[in-house]
Amino acid sequence: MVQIEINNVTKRIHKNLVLQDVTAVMHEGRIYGLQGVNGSGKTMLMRTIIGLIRPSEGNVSINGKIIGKDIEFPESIGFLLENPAFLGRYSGFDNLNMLAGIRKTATVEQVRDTIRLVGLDPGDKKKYRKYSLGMKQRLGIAAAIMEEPDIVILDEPTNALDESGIYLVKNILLRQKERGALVIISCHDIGILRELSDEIFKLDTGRIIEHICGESDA
Amino acid sequence: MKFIKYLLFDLKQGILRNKAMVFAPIVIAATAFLDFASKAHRLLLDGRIRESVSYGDYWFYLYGGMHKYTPSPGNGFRFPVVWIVVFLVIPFVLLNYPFKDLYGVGQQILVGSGRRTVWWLSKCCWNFLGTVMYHMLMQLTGLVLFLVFQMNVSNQIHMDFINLVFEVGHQEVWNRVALPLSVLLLPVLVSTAISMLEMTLSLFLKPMFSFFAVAVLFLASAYLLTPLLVGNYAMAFRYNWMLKEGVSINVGFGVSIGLLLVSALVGLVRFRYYDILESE
Repeated sequence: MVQIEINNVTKRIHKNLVLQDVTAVMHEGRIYGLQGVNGSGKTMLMRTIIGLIRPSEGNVSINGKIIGKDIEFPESIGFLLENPAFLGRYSGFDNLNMLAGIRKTATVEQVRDTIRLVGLDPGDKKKYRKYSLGMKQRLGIAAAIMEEPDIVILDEPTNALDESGIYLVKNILLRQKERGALVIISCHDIGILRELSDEIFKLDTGRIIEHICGESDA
Repeated sequence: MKFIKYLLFDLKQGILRNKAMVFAPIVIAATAFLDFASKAHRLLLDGRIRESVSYGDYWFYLYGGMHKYTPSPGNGFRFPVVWIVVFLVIPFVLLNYPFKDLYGVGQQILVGSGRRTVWWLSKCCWNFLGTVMYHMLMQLTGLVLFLVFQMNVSNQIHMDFINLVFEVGHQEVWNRVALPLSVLLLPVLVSTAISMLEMTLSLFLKPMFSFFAVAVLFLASAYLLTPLLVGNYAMAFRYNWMLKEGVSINVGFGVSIGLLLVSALVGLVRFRYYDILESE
């Protein structure tokens, strides 16, 4: 059972209000979409939930544990923020295997399976720096989901992907939802966002200006 | 256990895989050796020094810095080039790795670790060990070159050579014949403290500004002989062991260890509340 509570979160960076009194509750087994133009606060809200930035006011709690007070980061989370970043001199498999080796939460077989799941070849020796943008994006998604975390956060997961890649991402997200993960995504393509999300939070200048419940809640 | 894994990751990615970290000290030491050896050879041929130089002289050439500068007409400030290169290259080489890691794959590791403290302490150990390794590689390169050219590898120093190279009057310095262990260790310790200070400053300023701050600290230390400027403790020439009005070696150890620990602790507190933003 996972629940994220965002309680009156405000964030100021260099006197700019990037999040303003944001309040939301999110539950497991659902996909939450964040919609908004560039600079509306989508990524900032994601960073706050991950624990990478601290709210100036308010708090984010995961199952009642406040981030920055009771815990520093959510205990089970996978994420992809903006551009995926891995070690350029390693292959995709070596990168994920290295991450799994440090955290000891995914087996080598799980790593291979996840790489296959995103449409890449785990046996491919090509170095990450030689990957195309689409391949980098797929590997970033694989890193986020390989440990089957309770919370999956993907910022613009369909960036740089072709039609087949987008179809793949949609399926992956639905599988995450089916296994009970709480999924948060942002996407410029409103069609994809509406198709996948159970609920959408529309942000503008750091505020939630609209909360749309999807067809499943209608 | 987790901490050891993060540290091994940092040592591998931030030191062994960092070409500049490995090659910079070798290139600096070799270049300085050529300059040192040609000067020594010339002085010996001219009969201005009595005997061949030793490894101790070479070490002093790298870590000596400069004697006290007294501003006066006709006595312009002469930049201690070798010393500043030895001490400024390492903060520059160390500058980017923690932030490259923090905005790259390290972000996944940091969140996975569940604790910011683990990330910071691992970076502190990496920073300390990286600085020590830099100086060890530099000294080892010098030692190898001395062995290759069959030169005297003792820690003896020749004051006639040092006074000529550093342009010092005999009356200002003690007449020393060998480098004690404390003198060999202190500059490296000061260097580790300044590298740590730079990493902590980078949490408050942009990394490049923290590097400039450290560069200014070194330059100010070269200009002013005062126990308040920590760079003085990185110049073997400025110790009271060598220069009659120099700084205390014991105080230098205390100041360096203090600066090292305070920097690491301030960074630890700051990093707990540090916003990890790509744009930074």
